[in-house]
Amino acid sequence: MGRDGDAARAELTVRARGLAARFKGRLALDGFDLDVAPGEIVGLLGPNGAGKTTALRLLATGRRPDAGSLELFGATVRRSVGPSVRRNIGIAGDEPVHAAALTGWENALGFAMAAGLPRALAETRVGALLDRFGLSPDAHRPVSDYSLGMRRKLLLLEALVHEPALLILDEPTGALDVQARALLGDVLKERVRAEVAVVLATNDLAEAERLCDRVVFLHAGRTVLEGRPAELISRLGGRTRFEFTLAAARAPDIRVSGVEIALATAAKLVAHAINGSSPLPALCEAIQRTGAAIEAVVVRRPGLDDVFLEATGRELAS
Amino acid sequence: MTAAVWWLEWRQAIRRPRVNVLSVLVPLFLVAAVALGRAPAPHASLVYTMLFTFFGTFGAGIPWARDVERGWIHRLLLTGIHPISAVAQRWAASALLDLFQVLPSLLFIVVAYGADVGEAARLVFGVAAGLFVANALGLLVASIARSLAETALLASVFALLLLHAAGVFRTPLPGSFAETLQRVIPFHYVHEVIRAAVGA
Repeated sequence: MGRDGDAARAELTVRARGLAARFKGRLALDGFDLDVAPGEIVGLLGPNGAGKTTALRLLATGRRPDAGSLELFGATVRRSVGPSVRRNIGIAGDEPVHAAALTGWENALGFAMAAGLPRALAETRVGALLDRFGLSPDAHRPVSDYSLGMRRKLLLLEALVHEPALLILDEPTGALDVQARALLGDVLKERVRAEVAVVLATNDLAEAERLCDRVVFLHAGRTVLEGRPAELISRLGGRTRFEFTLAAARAPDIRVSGVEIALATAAKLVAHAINGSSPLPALCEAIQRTGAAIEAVVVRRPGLDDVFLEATGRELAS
Repeated sequence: MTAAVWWLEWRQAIRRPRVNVLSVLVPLFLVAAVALGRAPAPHASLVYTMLFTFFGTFGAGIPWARDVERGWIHRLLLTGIHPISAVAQRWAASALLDLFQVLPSLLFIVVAYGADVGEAARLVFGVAAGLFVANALGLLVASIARSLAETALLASVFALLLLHAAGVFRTPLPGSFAETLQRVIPFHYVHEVIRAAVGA
């Protein structure tokens, strides 16, 4: 790598090469590469068990990879991870684990101090974030009284309080209401303007499309596709997506001119057409001819789920 | 160095008044039952040594195993706090809390057996040291066990073995290996100060 390459490499917040991890004897992640620059939001997408959470754990230094290398903030992560690396990472995992007997304020303050903030600064920042996330009225109630959504907000607050250079978020909007989702989007945009890098895993494709600069599709522990959401979707051209909910004995085997069948099961059929919604009557007729009953039809422009379907032949939600 | 773990431990202790009251009353009732039941002093001292050892071992081991299982320890360590610092803070907080909780029991022993000031002071310091060792044993066991049940089992086995090696259950022959061994087991000295306090 030349000088420019070295400089570009040093500027990356995350540089992962060939990361692999086994989980209970199974290869949960295999040959995972990822570059994340400061001020970039990267989304990891994939069905359950694809390796998203394992990838986040490796990036968060929560476990060591079985193979591959990881550089964070320009330095290689070794066997022993120093506090300077971890204090630059904010993590909100998939489960909001807290000290249930303590109040929200105490939990957040404890984590802020554990991340190295002096008490006075920690109190100021915790107070401001509790206000921002609408938790101030409940700040002095025990976390055991909190709803799942409130605990999720507290977890996000604890990931943000020490103002890390890298945020790692697993299903950050899970259990959040609409206002909290919008707030999280605003907070992430602010942090990105401050050159914070964000890696998040989500099953919410609309959220990924809205928030992420780049998405990485994982399937069976491997990266199958990577790119900017709009560019990936545009590769599908001006197609129209038809999604039929069916009641059928078996997957209907149909052919309609100008229509590509992306997925066919006894319960669901997904088709893409290049001529807008005009093939819909022909599609309905073809399906009904097979003896299948159509229970519902959704017609919309393709999204990230279609990108994954096109790349793997499998549904993202499966 | 941040003292966040120490702070969190004490805050949690304050927020659990029921657990604190039970942790004071349970050993106190046991001590009172043995002392007021006029159990022979050697037998009473054996019961008290076992009680304080198990109190410390289980008091540190079970909560640590539970916090490892639910991911709390992992979360704390990912904040950048040094693992040795985190364990040390937890150990110190847990042992000191145990000492506060058994102080009424120690006071009861002093009053019930009419121990003098010197014996009382040695009793408090000896049991405090024993609690630190027992807590360390609990944390060690919890970190090698894979579940709460395994922690409880291993804590019982190791504590009993150490108490046995410390000469709590029998007096080894003078000059024997067992006699040499008991001198390096801290629980031996805990047992000695308790024996002195109860007049065994």
